[in-house]
Formats: sequence, C-alpha cells, structure tokens
Amino acid sequence: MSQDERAPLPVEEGEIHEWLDGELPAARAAELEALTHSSPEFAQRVAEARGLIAASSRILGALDDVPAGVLPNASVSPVAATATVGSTATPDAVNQTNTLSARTVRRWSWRRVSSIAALLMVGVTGVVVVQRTPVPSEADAVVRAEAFEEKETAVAAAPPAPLSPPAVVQRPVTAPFAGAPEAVQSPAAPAAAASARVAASARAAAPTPAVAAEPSVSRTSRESLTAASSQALAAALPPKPTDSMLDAAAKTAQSQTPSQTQSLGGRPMQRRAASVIPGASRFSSGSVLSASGANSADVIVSEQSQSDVAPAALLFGVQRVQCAPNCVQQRIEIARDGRLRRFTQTLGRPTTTDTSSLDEAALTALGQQISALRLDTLPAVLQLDGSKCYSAGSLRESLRVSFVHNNAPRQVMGLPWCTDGKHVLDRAAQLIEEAAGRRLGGVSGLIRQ
Amino acid sequence: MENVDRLFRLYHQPLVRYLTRRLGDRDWAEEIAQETFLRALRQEALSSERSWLFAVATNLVRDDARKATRQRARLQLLAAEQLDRVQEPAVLSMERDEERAFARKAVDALAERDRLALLMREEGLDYDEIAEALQIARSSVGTTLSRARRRLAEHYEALQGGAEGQSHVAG
Repeated sequence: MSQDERAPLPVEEGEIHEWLDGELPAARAAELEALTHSSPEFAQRVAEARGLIAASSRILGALDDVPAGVLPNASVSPVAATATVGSTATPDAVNQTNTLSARTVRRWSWRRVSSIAALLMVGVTGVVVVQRTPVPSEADAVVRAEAFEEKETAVAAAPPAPLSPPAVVQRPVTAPFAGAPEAVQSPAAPAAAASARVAASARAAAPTPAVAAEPSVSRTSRESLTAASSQALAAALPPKPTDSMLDAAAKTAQSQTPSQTQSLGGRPMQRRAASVIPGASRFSSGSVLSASGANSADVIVSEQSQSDVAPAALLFGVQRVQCAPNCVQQRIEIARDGRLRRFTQTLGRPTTTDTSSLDEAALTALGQQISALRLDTLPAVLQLDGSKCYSAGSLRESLRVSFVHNNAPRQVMGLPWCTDGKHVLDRAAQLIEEAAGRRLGGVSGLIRQ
Repeated sequence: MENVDRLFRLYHQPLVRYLTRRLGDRDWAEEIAQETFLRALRQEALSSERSWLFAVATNLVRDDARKATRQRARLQLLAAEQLDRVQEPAVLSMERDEERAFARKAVDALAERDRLALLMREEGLDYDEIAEALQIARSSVGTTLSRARRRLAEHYEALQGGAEGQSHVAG
C-alpha cells in the first residue's frame, strides 16, 4: 500500500514522527492534520511525539560540549555494533586498513604519559598549594584546558618539584548567597580536593576567567537545598515581611558582591550561554543592570548584578535564557511583599525593566498556584497538569526558577518540556499573569516571545 | 577538488558533530571526518553525497573501533585519570557533567541502528538519505526514529530519576 492509500486510522507512532519530520506526502499530512482537530486522543499522541522530538534533540545537544581527547566508554564502544551500515555504499571503508587507530594512539604519546606521571609525583609529594578559583565559564574552561595542556608539558619537562612546601597561594573563597546553607565538603571532597590541588597548581598560570566568580556549592549543600518537599508553597509562605525586614534584605543584597548575588540569578545559564557566544559572559559581569521603571521605588534591586532580589525577600523568580544565536535573558521576580519586576536583556542591547506590585490576595493566590507547579521536582521529569515534562540540559535554552520554601531560597534549573507542548515557563508566566491581572500588560506575552 | 571543497564546506561541520555525538571524542571525530573526506576525494562521483559521507564515516568508526579496542581500553584509564585531575569541583560543573553523562548513557543505550538514524536525522538527513546510509527500507525510518526518540527520552528520564533519588535537584 502506498503512503497515499493508507487508512486514516490507526496511525502508527512512526507515521506521526514522519509527519512531524515533514516527510509525509502532502495529502496524508493533511489527513493527519485534520485528525488532530477531530480526535483529542490523536492530538495528544501528536503532542507527545512533539515532546519526544524536542526532548531527544536537547538530550543530543548535551553531547556537543565534549572536550577533545576524551575516549569513548569501553562498554559502549562502537565495536560492539554488529550491524553493517551502508556496506554497499562504502565497500572500501570497511575493508581498507586505515591508520586512524594508530593516530589516536599516537596522540597519547609517552610525553603525555610522562606528563601525567609527573603530575602524580607532584601530588604525592604533597604540594600544598590550595587555590579556590572562580568557576570558569565553559568558554573559559576551553582556555584553561589549553593552558593546562601547556602547563602539563612544562611540568613534564621541569625538574622534580622541591620537597619543601611552596608558598601557599590562597584566593578568597566566594561565600554562598545569603540565606543559603553553607557549602559543606562532602566526604569525598578531600580526595577530590587533593587531586584538584595538583590541577589547581598547574592552572595557576592560566588566565583569570573574565566571568565573575560564582559561589561554590558542594553536593551536600545541594542535597540539603533539594530536600524540599513538594508541599504547597502557599503553606510555607511566611507572614508579609515588615519594612525593616525588607530594608535589611535589600541592604544585604546591596552589600553582596556581584558574584554572591549572582548565585540567585541565572549564572549557570550564562555559563551555558558563554559557551555558545563568548560575549555572553557579559551577562554575568555584574553592574550591568540599572534599576529603572515607572516607579523606581518599586524596584527591589541593587544595581550590582542581575541577581537583584535579596534571597530573604524573594518569593518567586523565573528566568529563561535563549541563545539563537544572540542570548536573550528574560526574568520575572516577585518579592514577598508583592513587588514584582521583570526585565529582558539581549546581548548588546539595552535592558528593559518594568515593575509593578501585587496585592496580598493576589500574592497568596499566586503562591498557591505556583506551588502546584511542583517546582521542587525540576528538572527531573515533571508532572504538570497531568502531562509529562521532559527536562534536558541545553546550551541554547535554559530555564531557572527561584523560589522560597520554608524560608530558604531554592533554585531549580533545567529545560522542562511537556509532552503536550506546554513549556513550564509558559505555565508559570500564565499563572503570574493571572495573578497580576493586566497590570503588567501581558507578562506571558513577553516571556513567550 | 572544487567539488570536495564544496562537500567540505557543506558537510564537515554536521559530520563532525554527528561523529562527536557518536564517539564522545572531538579529536577522534575530526580524524574520522578527515578520513571520510579523503575518501571522497578518491571517488569519481557521488550520487547521494550526504548519505555517502555519513555511511562512510559510520563504517570508519566501526572499523576503527574494532581495531583499537584493546589500546583504547588502556588509554581510557589514562584519560579518566587525567580528567579527574582537571575537573572543576563546582556544583555547576557537576550538573553539566551529569547532564552530559546522562545523555551519553541514554544515547549509548539505544540499539545501534536506532542511534545512527537518530543522529543522522539530527544532522538534517532526510528519510531517503537515512534509509540509504543505513541500508534500511525508507518506510521503516519513521518507526526507527520514533522508537529511538522514545527510548532516548525514557533512558534519560530513568537516569535522571535515579539521580533524583540520590540527590534531589536544586541549585
């Protein structure tokens, strides 16, 4: 049976994908299109297929950030493949002896092996150079990796390290943001730190990252942050803070360094963005955003960074960065007293800022609705309105949600994509818009653009 | 030569990306891509150039991997050792690494044909080209892709779910 003669039902999943991939003949595509309008069940299947296509693209996108010289996992070595692919198309490819393997091996020359050995020696002799460097952006990581390569060679060629301990070089350790649990070293941290010292000493000559420092949060603190239950956020909402509390929070925010306050913002996304566009690191350079708006008194922010709301004052914030190719940052923050702020920043373009405020009833309703989003389950698979949301990291789009739970600031990030086509950010924006009425003139419109 | 220049401009980047996703090693991917284009030079004419390039590259990967398994296993230990040393201890680096590791595992969990079809599709090959490169029926490409996508998402979801159980998410 030809494709054009296929019956309208049942439609196999493969055909749905074929349609969504634009590979179906026009007549059949029109049939399926019509079917989506007449059959909710089919529409749901199509939405799910869309979600799977989007999710798989994003999952595969995470593989693109691969450093060179990383050898494939043995358990999944392509040699395990048994299928002969395109054998008729490439007879010589299969049969000819090629020299790729030898070249691969040559990359791992004795020079490199001896370099590693030298590094090991340095580590064993107990060099106590402790350096807490700022977290580099991915772009920086490339620079660092190159620098490390050079240093590695230098170490290999250098005479053995002296046994006497060198001077300790210590840089200030960036503190976690206010209100967050202190970073605690995990049990495995000492061992990791020991090996990190060697790398750190080797990296000491590497260029300082252009991106501002970011607080280091250990896995333990991360776990404690994530231990939040999925209880209704509204139940956790504290009483409306007094002016003095807000003032204190604002002062805290203003006294924080950009790197500290950035912990509340989309710093990880800027790291991602920076990997796409080096200039995107400007997002995180601090002192970029200025408080402005119709009523500057409503602006909750300091001017130090994009992480403008003091953690203690934050109720909810949602932020998205998209780079296609220029990075656009969109952010909405709501303070506990109902003050609300949104802004959009595009690389190389002015920031637009807008502010408004919510009354207490709207704020309470919003808290209840936001709690229903189960933000604490992000970025794992999320149940939103009964639909599955896949979450996968992406270099080109990411989402970060900040909120307060049990008086502790929490953040989740990822890229949730629901199989029914709903983006969790759209849903959040919709909730905000509903709660805020029309005061903001269409928050979701801004966010969805 | 002019034709190879054109091929290179058109297909080098997607081919390297395809191979990098396939292999997890950009250097190796570059080498395979180079070798693929060298072989293209030797061809008088290519009828379906994109599917030909991807098929040759795929076979080179398989051929290369078969010959280098033992060396690679040893080198992998060295590479892992070195990576441990240069790894950033920051949580964000861990998150990124975790995402990549999950993606790698999820992709590797796919059947070979599903994986290749998916990776080729991601590089823009149409169904005819995928069918030709993989030597499968055109009518089965949609099914292959839908199965691959579903399994990929499910594997990824399962991995994330497992990690979620150990360490709930937040930043």
